[in-house]
Amino acid sequence: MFPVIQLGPLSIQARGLILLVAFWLSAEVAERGAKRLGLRGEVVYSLAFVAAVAGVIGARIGYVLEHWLAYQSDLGAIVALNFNTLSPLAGAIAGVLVAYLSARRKGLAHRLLLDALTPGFIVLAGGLALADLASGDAYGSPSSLPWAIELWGAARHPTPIYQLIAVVAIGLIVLKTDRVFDGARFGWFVALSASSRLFIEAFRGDSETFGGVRTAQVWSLLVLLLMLVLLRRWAKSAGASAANDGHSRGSGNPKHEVGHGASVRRV
Amino acid sequence: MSWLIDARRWTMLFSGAFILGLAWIFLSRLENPSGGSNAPPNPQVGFTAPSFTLDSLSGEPISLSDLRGKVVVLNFWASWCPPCRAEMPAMNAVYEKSRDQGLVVLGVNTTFQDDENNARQAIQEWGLTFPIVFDRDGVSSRGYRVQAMPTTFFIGRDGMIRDIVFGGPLSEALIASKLEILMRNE
Repeated sequence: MFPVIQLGPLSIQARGLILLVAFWLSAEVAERGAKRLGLRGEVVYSLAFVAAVAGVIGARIGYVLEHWLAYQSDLGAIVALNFNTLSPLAGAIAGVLVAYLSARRKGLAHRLLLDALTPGFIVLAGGLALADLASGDAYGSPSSLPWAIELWGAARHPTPIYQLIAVVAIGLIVLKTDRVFDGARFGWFVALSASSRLFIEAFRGDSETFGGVRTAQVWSLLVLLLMLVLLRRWAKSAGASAANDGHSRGSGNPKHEVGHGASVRRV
Repeated sequence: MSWLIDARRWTMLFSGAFILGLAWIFLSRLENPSGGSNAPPNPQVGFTAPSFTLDSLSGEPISLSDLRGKVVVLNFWASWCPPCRAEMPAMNAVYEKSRDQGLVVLGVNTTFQDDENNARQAIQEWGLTFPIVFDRDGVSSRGYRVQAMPTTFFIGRDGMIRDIVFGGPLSEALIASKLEILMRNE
C-alpha cells in the first residue's frame, strides 16, 4: 500500500496519480477501439477529453452546492481545487450529459460510440481497482482465508484484487465476444460490472449500509436489471432493423447505414 | 445473441438475476452495521482514531482520547512547510467560530523533523489559539502514517475518523464543508 508517493520534496497522492494515468490510457485505448469500429479516433478522443473536463467541473460545482453554507462566505475558495472536494456523482452526471450532447451534435451513433469506448471503460475500471489497492481504500472485511492480506490491523479480503481480477475477466469476455448489435459490448460490460460489484461488495469492510443491507449491492442489482432490459430492447431493434434491411434490399430502397435504424452517421 | 430476443429465455435470465441478486444481498447483509466504534484504531476513514498523549505548548500533556465527545480536526504540520503555514489562519478562524459548539483543532507539530524553536516562534507569530502538541519522537506521526505535509484528519464525536485530506493549504470553506455533518451529529 502506497497512499503517497514521495518524489523529492513533492508528495503525490498515489490514488490521484493512478487514476490520471488510467484515464489517459483509457482515452488512448478508446481511440483505437473507435478506429476498429470505423469511427474517427480523434473525434472519440476529443469527446473523452470534453467529458473529463465537464466531469471535473461538474464534480466541483456539485461539491460546492452540497456545502453551500460553507462556501457562501468564501467564494474565492470555490476555485481552489482539491482532490478531496469533488462530488463523484455530480461529476459522473455532468460528464455523461456533456458527452451525450457532444456526441449528438457530432451526429455519432450513441450505441456504436459506447461500444467503441468500452475498452477505455475497462482500463479505467482496472485503474480504479489499482488506485484502491494503492491507497488502502475499498478494503475488505476480516478474513482467515490463506490469501487474506494484512491491512488496517487485520488479515482482510483483498477486495481491490478481487475487483481487478473481475475487470480482467469481464474485459476478456466482452472483447472476445462478437459484437452482434450496436450497444452489445457496452451493455454486457455494464451488466457484468454490476454483477461483480454485487458479488464483491459482500466481502468489503467499508460498505455503507441501510438497516444492515449494503446499499451498493442494491444499486448494482438495479443497474444489472436495467441493463438486461436495455440489452433486450437493443437486440430486438437490431433484429427488426436487419429484417427491414432485408425487406428494403428486396424492394430496392436504400439501406440504413447503422443497424438500429436511427438517422445517424459514422464520423 | 438471439436468445436475448426469445421472451422465455430472457425472462428466465432476468428472473434468475433478480432472485439470485436479492438472495445474495440478504445473505451478505451485516448483522451489526453499527460496528464502527468497535473497529480497531487505524489512521483510515471508518476506524477509531489512534490515541496518543503529547506535550502541549505549556508542557501539559494532551491525550486525544480525552477529546472524545468533541469534533476534532487533527492537523499534522511543520514550520518549514509552506502549505502548512498558509492554512494556519484558516484553521484558527474555524476553531474560533465553532469552539463553543464542541470543535477542537489539535495541531501536531512534527517536531522530530522540525525545529521546536522555529515552531514555537511561528505559533506566536500567527497568534494561534487552538492547542498545539509536539511530536518529538515521531511515534504519533508514524502511527498516523503521515507522509504528506500537511495531513488533516477529521474525527467525529465518537472518535471515528470521518475524512482525511492529504496536502494543503486548506481554505476556511473547505474545512467548514468537512465539518458540516460532523458538527450536526450529536
